[in-house]
Amino acid sequence: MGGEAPEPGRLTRALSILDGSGVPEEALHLVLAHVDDPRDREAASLACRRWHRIDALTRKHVTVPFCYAVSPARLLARFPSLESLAVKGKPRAAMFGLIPDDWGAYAQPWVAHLAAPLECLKALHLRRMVVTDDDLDALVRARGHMLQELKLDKCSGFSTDALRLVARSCRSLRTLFLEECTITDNGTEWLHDLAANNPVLVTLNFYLTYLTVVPADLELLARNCKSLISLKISDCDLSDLIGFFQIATSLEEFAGAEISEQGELRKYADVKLPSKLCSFGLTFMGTNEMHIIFPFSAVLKKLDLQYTFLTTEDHCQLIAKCPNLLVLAVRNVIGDRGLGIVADTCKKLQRLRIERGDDEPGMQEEEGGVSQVGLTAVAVGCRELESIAAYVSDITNGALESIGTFCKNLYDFRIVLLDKQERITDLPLDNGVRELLRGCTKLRRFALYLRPGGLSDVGLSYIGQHSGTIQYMLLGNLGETDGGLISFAAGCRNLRKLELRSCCFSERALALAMLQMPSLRYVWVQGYRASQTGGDLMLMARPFWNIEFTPPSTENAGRPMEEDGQPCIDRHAQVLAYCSLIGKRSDYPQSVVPLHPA
Amino acid sequence: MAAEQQMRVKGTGGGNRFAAACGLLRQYQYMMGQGSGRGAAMATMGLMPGADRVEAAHVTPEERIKNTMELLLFPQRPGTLMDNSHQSRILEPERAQLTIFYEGRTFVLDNFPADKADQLMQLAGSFAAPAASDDELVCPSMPAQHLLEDMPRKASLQRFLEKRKSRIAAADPYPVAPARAAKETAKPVAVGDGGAPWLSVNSGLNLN
Repeated sequence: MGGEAPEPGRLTRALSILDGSGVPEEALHLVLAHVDDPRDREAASLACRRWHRIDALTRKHVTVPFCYAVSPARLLARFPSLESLAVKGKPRAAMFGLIPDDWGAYAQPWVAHLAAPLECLKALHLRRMVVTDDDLDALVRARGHMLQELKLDKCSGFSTDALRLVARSCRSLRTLFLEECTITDNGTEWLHDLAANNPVLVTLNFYLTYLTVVPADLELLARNCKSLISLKISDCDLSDLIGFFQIATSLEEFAGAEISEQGELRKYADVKLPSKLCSFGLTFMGTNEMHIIFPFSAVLKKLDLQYTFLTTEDHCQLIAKCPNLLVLAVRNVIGDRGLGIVADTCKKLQRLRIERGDDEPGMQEEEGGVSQVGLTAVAVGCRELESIAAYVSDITNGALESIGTFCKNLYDFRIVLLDKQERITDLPLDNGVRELLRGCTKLRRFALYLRPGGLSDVGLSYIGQHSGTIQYMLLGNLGETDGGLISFAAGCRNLRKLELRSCCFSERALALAMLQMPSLRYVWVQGYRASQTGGDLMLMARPFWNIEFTPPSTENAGRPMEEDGQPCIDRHAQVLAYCSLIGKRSDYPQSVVPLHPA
Repeated sequence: MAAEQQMRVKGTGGGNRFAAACGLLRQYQYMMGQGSGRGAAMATMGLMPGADRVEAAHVTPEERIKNTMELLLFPQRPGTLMDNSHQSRILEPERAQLTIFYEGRTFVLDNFPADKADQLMQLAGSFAAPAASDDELVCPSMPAQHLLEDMPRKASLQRFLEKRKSRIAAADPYPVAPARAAKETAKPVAVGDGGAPWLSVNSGLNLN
């Protein structure tokens, strides 16, 4: 359908497609097979029953954004021909230690109900879920012969024994991704088995798993897996990988390993990295080791310096040699000075992440800390930016405005204002936030975590008003009164997922605000004026909307109310509310109270 | 026209034409099929129960704010199912609990009529500092200092920073620089500080 959506009058011809007298079913199958975008697929499936059925039969990939939204059985009934499935489990807060271990998100029902019946399934991606050895055993039994892609992203609950099973049974495996999983280390054989049995492996990632690695197994991997392009490993001294790098000539991406002894120049002198390498990260790399990167710095596209010991000056020197960077991840030791170098050098930069370094007095780096100066420089210098995530020590309205003016391609913007500096240059950020949202029209993900006084009620209403196509938001320490939240909610038409932390809102206001947002299907809140029972949350009770409540800690129970009669902000209380077709889940832990359905 | 309203409701700048066209098709199909009963709204797998309903009365954000403010002022019993069509009924004179906080004391009056509460608030408002229109929420403003004190770290970075700390301590176990507040400009312990890191490995050579 070209041009604007057709006027109603011209739809009569289109209707003939719907009622069956027009295009034959096989043709519709073929046409829909070319429609990949999930939003297009969703729209097509809602057009009429026939299209709904054909979409269901031809859909290749489904992402279940929250594992308790729908049951595996229902998914199977609708999409029997799935080739690829992604399921997400625990709230993002789990990455910050805020979700108890027994919270839920078990992979077991998904594997049990889907692994065998989904006969076309060749890719499985689970994020923040509990996966046991038995689950992987069941998966491998049912699908091992055709599994091409297994991604366990920040999952926990399994051991290297299960990895051995995967390694021995999945000969078609092209991608094995285990980054940041918590894995019980029962030995290194799994890597040896993988190297021996999987000739078509293209991507292997066990970064940040802290599993023991035997260098000889990696060399075997390099010899056997000629297609290996991307390898991210756990800790293993770089000097032990000299042999590996000599064999893995096709390698384009590498991260992990470590510099176990700083300043030992002779030890690392013989390390020669593969010539096609364009994505790199090295743990504990220091000033004396960074020259390793210089030979290929000009072709580097991705650089991860988050886990290095480089100083601000080191960052400046290194990044000045990397004009082709697309993706850069650093800690805030890079400083404003380093960001200035990024702005001058990395004109093609698409993704920038500035993580939070050590705040402790004496531990933090001298010039470390990023402010409006660096942010503005980057906004002006790197016009191709699509994603910015930054922990800043200081910020101004002007910096946010600059981002809105210059970063027109931005679809993901996240900023956290650190709490160490007492006085922030320019608060509240109402106007800057408004200009950023107005300028960055492609924004789909937005996070703003400030401090009291950082954004007024008016500013919060601006966020709602200019939320545009934003689908995910994390808001922390924003607004002043319930009114701010209500005004915000009134504007958010497309918001699907909301996380609120450390905010002053009442339970009643939260519930009423959630009712205002037509696209909202998931909300997580921690740090608000919670009651003991979460009673006011029932104001948002409605069909297909689950409400889970983690009550305030018992020490607050005895405490008298605040002077204004409102409950004080409790750090323990959480609310998780989400669209669900299942009804109440059966595996919630002791700490969680299901309010609705009760 | 309802279809156009549907478009506006989904209203994304530079929207997806295919998705928009599908939406219109569905709307048309529904309207055509209504007589025969064929086009009755399907039980979809869409996990947004409200999103694909056409809003029968197009409510402006300002109206929605006002309706919700009223709900905040005149609390209903929890457990009632709320949706847009019910909100207008709240405006009829009703009785509800009135709570007054004054000078640290709390007064609670049950079954207080809504119209009297309205008058009471207007009276109180006339004594107060210039507040604005009726739309402003009369709600105790929350003290700014209360918030979650912690700003948790991601587990992976936490682990790295701890390892960094132990490496620094191992290289120079007797740091001279005292622990100072972050905002002071005193140089931290001269370890891994750029320039001459090899000095720090042999801590005995440090002159301080």
